[in-house]
Amino acid sequence: MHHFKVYDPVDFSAFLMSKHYLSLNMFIFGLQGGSVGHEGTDLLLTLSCLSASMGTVFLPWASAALFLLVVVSILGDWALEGALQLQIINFNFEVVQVTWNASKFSGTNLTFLYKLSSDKTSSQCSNYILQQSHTAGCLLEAKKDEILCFSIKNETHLLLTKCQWISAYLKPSSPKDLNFQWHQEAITVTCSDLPYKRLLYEIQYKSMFDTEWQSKEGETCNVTTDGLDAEKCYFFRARVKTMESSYGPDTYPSDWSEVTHQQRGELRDSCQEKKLFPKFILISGTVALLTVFLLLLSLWKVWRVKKVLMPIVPDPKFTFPGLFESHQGNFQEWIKDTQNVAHLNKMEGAEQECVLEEVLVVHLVKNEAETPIMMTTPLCPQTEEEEASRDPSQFPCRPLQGGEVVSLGGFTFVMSDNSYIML
Amino acid sequence: MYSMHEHRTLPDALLFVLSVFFRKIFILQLVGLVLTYNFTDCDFEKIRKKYQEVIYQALEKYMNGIKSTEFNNPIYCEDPPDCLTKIERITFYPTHGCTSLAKEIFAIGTNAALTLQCPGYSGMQINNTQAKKKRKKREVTTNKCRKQVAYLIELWRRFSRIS
Repeated sequence: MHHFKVYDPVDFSAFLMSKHYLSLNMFIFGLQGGSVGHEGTDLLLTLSCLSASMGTVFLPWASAALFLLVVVSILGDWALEGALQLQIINFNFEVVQVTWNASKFSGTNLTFLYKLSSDKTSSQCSNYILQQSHTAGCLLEAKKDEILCFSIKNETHLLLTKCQWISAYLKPSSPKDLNFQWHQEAITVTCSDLPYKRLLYEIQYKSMFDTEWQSKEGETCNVTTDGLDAEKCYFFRARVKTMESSYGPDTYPSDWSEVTHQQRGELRDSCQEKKLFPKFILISGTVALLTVFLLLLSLWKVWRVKKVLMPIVPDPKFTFPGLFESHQGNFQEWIKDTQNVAHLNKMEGAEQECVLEEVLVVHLVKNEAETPIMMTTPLCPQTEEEEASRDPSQFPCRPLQGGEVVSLGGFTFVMSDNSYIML
Repeated sequence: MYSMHEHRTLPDALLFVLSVFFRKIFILQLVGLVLTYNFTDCDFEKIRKKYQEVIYQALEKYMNGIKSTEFNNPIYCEDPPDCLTKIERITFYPTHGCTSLAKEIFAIGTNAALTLQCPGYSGMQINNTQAKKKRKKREVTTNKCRKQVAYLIELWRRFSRIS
């Protein structure tokens, strides 16, 4: 009969080994699946190992509680990151800027601690960004593609811990010194490549007549665009973007380069917009003036035609004020009233003697010294009876030509439009 | 006649067997850590193109809109061979809580790229019967697996930047 001692050294060591192998085994899994000797150790995995090993010694509820505590703390990190409105920008692998919303923790200065992959120990930020006398960010040098681990804390609590590749927040510098080479209808734009890979160099161009930019990209700063007219003046600008498959979706495109102008293979200060402007105004003004002139001419022609077809009948009420208002159109009454002239009565059946009438014709003269010329020429009778009774031996008569007949003191005057009587 | 000594022999024997068993597994894991393929002689440019054309889209599709940066603590790799070593390990070796990545499309693409562009690399033999048995488990994408894939995405991005 074989007896085995319970506390045989070999068995006891095996017992210990078996108990602790669980945690060691899981630690090895952590090495394989997590980082190797780096701050990027899987906290959950490590603590799950710890809790698993604890579970073999302590009560299971204790390990579960520890695990839950870790989960809650990680979830809290995510919520706090949103509340802090954290922003990270890597300026061309030269300077990394980390900013947060200081107003959320007004009255307190937050502390920023960080460590890059190449650093051996953590450092506190030496170049804080201040906002209203409180820390709102940190500027740190980061010249290589590496992982940045940082933590933000106030006086009493650690608020946030984060580790990320700084390349995930890259903003390349803007392209400078663009060169242009024309070849028939194609142009090649070149510039210096940035010292890191997997970038897209975007060239935009448009002519004076285009409203929107046309775009062309290349993996190097050597981009050829064809289908251009060398006689036209073109605007060009360039910027650099990152490939999402290499840097992720959180990067920033570079700023646009200065706009350059190209025409006929030469660099220009502008695209002749200033010269074009006065010429355009001149032509437009001339066309407008011609249009107005033609419009006025046509209107005047229309007025003349209208005047011929429909002549304006003068309104006598303005020529003879009071004729219609006071005398209801009775001109003789109006004459009587206004001019104090006796009526020339019609004598029916009576012989009308050919009276020698002095016709005082007063010509409109320029000088007052000139005396009016008096002509005594008998008027011709107006009726047939008057003509029959007329003595032919008398002076030839002067026909009665238009005008009004005015009788004054036994004298009869024939008034024309231009004549007047002075007494 | 059995005494108390005899009653205690059964648990001791069990412990002895288990300790030997776990010891062997431990040693194998250590060996696995040491004896890994050296990816120094691979055509990194062609592997990078394969990543850009096929593997990248498959990884993004697996994540289904979740950003890899939401998972903290990325894994660092120094140079292209180091990156491929870690990519291969995470892709094809199961970890606690995530055992099914090797059957995903990005894993198949990775296996093909490494097999074609790395002389002497034999590739991983993916067991289809096991895939069928584990289909139910694989359909559920655990957060642990997403975290592993987030590590993969960061490693692949690093690899493409430096290769």
